[in-house]
Amino acid sequence: MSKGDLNLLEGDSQLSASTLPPSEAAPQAEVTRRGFLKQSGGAASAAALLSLPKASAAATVPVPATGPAQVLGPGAVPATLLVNGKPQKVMIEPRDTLVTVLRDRLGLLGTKLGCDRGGCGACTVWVAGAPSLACMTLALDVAGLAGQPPQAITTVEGLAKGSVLHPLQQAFVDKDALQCGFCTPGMLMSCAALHEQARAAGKLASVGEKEVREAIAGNLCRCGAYPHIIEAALAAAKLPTAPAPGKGGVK
Amino acid sequence: MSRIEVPVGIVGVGLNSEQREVPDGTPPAWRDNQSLAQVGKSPTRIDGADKVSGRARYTADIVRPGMLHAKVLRSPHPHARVHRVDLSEALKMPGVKAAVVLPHLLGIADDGSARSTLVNRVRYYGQPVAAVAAQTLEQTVDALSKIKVDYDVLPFVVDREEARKPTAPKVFEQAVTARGSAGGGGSKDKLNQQGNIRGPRRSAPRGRDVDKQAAQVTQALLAGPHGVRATYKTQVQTHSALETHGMVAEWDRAKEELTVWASTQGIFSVRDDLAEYLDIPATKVRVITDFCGGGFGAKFGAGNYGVLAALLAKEAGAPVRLVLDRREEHLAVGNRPGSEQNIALAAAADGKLTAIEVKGFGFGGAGAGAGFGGPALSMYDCPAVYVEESDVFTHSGPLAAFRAPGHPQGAFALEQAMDELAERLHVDPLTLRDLNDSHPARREERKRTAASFGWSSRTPTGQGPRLGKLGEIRRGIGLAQGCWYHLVNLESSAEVRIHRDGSVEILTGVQDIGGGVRTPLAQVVAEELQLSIDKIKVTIGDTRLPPGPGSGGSVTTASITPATREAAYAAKQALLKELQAVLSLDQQPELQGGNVVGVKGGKPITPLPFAKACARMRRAEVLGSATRQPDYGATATGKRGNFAAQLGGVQMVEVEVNTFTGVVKVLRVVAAHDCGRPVNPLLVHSQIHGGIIQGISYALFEERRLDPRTGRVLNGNFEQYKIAGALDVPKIDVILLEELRGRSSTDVSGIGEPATVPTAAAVANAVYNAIGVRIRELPITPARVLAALASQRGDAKP
Repeated sequence: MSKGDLNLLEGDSQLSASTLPPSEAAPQAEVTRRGFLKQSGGAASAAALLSLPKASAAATVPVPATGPAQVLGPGAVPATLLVNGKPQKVMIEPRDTLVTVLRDRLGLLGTKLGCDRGGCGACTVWVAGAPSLACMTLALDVAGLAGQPPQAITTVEGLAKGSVLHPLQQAFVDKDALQCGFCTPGMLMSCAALHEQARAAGKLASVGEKEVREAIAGNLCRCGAYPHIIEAALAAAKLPTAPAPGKGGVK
Repeated sequence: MSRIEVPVGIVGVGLNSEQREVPDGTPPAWRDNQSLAQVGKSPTRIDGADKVSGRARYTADIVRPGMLHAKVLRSPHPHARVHRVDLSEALKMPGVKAAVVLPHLLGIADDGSARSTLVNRVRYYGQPVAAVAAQTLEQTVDALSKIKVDYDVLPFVVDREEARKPTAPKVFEQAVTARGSAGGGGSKDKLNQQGNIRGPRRSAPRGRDVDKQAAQVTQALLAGPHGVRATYKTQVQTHSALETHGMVAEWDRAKEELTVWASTQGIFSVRDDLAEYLDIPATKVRVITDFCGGGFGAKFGAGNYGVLAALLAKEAGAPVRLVLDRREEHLAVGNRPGSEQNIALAAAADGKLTAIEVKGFGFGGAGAGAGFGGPALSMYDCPAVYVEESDVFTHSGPLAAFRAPGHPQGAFALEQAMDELAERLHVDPLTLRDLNDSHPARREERKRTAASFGWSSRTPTGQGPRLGKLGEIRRGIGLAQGCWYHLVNLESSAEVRIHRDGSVEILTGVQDIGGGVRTPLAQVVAEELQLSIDKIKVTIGDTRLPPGPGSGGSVTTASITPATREAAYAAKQALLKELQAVLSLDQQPELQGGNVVGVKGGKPITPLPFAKACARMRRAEVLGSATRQPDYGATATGKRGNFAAQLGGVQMVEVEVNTFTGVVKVLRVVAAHDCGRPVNPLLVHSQIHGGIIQGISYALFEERRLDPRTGRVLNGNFEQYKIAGALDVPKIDVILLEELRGRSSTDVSGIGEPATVPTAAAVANAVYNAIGVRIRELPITPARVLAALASQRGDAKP
């Protein structure tokens, strides 16, 4: 890969110092991939762009195949998030990511933000039962709006049943499957999704090491707790009566 | 002073009894772990449930009423003069409540000018300049774009070769020094400095004359008869803790007191920095760290971001949260410096080393102290050892202490050179180390590792079977060993309170960065008071508590567990004295089997369970407090080269190399380590796993890349800055020695650093064994493997 390629791939360097006068080249002033995503607000605001008069630049954006475009934003709009089985009314801007809304608006601080661009998995939650990166998910895309039911979101706070830990959480404690603990919520959500999917297929007891490694392949742990995490995930899968998680179960 | 008996030796190999002179009131020495009820067992972490439930609160999780968000403006230039910073437009932006210019620059080498003038010069891309606080994070981003900075852009150099040329733009005009941190690093020596080269710093093993050693090395290298000489290069690695650096700062205006929540390895280092740079007494600063999402050496002191957060909070009159983003982590808060080491070894015909020489350069950007000489100076029994280390400054982010500063780099060169020498001498690499290393722990570790790993089945280099459909897969095994030091922070203090209801509390200002220090503390006190650990509450992470050690240099448990045990012992004595008075006993009662037993009027009393005994106290609580004493009599606290205080570590690795793609996969690791008395083997295993995995990641994947054209960091993220993931992790077997030396009331040493020292070298030696061509530069990428294989075949360079 040439240096030029690297430079282009580095989202934050797309407009480099050499192409901008110094006063405009401050890193925070650059167009970033993440910034662009958040500013444009993904699907919901792509629709918003379409609704603008003389939106010639947006004319190439493909029109969603189903239904008329819904105009949302740029300000916050009332929406409902279904989190851990509980519907929650919340104001959401089109640019808000799911992790921001969970943490900053709903106070669900168990979900962590590690990189804000899908590189570390610390923000992993379930959306409709599938492990998803909350930093790469726009909140409005999973929220309940007029004519759109909310998708079920499950966070680490939704794994335990009251004060009784989910068997996987208990296994993480028993096997010391964590050190600093910052990646732990995301790790748990990835492992638990694997377990729930295996359970639904009647194959929980036969979950193997390879599947666990693949399930957490997108979750980074800088402390290097992986060996104990794998042990914990395998041990919990072998438990005779692992109950289903508390709320917002898995498809 | 009084004398006590202490056990000394490796459990399972042989224990002797020795005498130590200790201060009066020192608790008796524990025997080996097998004789203990709590210590040496592996209870699960007492804060495990907090971490798995999402309840554990890290700095970025702190929410204060009316809290503002803050972000740092960073220089887009690697080298510039800053003439003027105009905040006026930014202050007018929506939601903005405060904006400040960075008043002092921390983290960079010190050129003798006031730190307040250092800010007028940018020396690396991403250097902090100013910061704003606003109601939302998005508003801070908008506001930063309105700050006007007049930069006088200057020529820069980031390339290692270019920087050494006399014509290269200078990073510093004045001679510099560098403060270290509790995690190590720093360089206080006044050294020669020409252009961007500072040094060499000349060293020989402790207690030897440097000039004489240098001469002896030169002579031995000439005499031979057997010698090897090669150049090894290592890359810049970033700490990449999952939780980024951050601080939440809140002022109490009436009391003029500052409270901060910090993601830190050393709460007292944060307090002291804030007191110094904000010019307020340390008593007016409180630092709280309930949980820290990893540090690895980069999280000491307040940092520029911390000073900015505190200033913004003061200016805005509201709490401020400033948490760095992932990109800033790679740019501006430290790294493991790169190195270029020219190493030469000489040995006699019998394989005994006659000379070790390492001369080279460290690349710590705008920071000083990028050394690598530790392993060469400390590890082998060699009559002549000489090291020259020079810093080469470049216009890039300054180094910080990073897990065993200098040692993975040094081991990468030394341990491969040892293998090269073994080959030259036609001896097994393990045998060569046995011949030249008398360190008792490592000797035992080599033995046990070799037996568990199956070292004797090693095939000669390049002669292993060809696997895979096309014979493209080659396997190899390699070993390397490491060293670190028994280091102790003598300011570590703890308090233990026994309450009337029988509950027990430990209070100490240490912090958990992932090692899980709460649990060993509880075990130590449970052992002393004959309780179960669930009876003990551990309160840490607050500068209002007695000062604890910073968690760096593998000092934490070695420093704080003895003080904590002694505090518990003192509290126990106070309790027993109280009971003697209350119960009118003939003499001070004793604690036996969890009961208080004593004699009254010549007759034994009915044994009183601990809680019932506590209930008889006339006061609400008794307390004991203690500060870490220096190590007992005969032993010395470790410094580089102090063999007696050295920790070992031996690792053996099997790799698979795909000769078509160049991909290296580590298949398995057997690692033997010593850390004095392991308090909680489960937690020690976790740390050893972590050290090995970081070492594999360093060996194969990680490298911070700079653009020579712009001086920018090209891979300031986790997509292009790769760290090891679950699919990269091999099977790891840990062998843990229990090595007693009679040093303190717990006889504990650290494990964080030793575990990562030998790994990259062991991987490299295994790769050599697999493919028969040595790779002397990190990381061992597929491209480097393919290039090495091509040069082996004699292919022309592409």
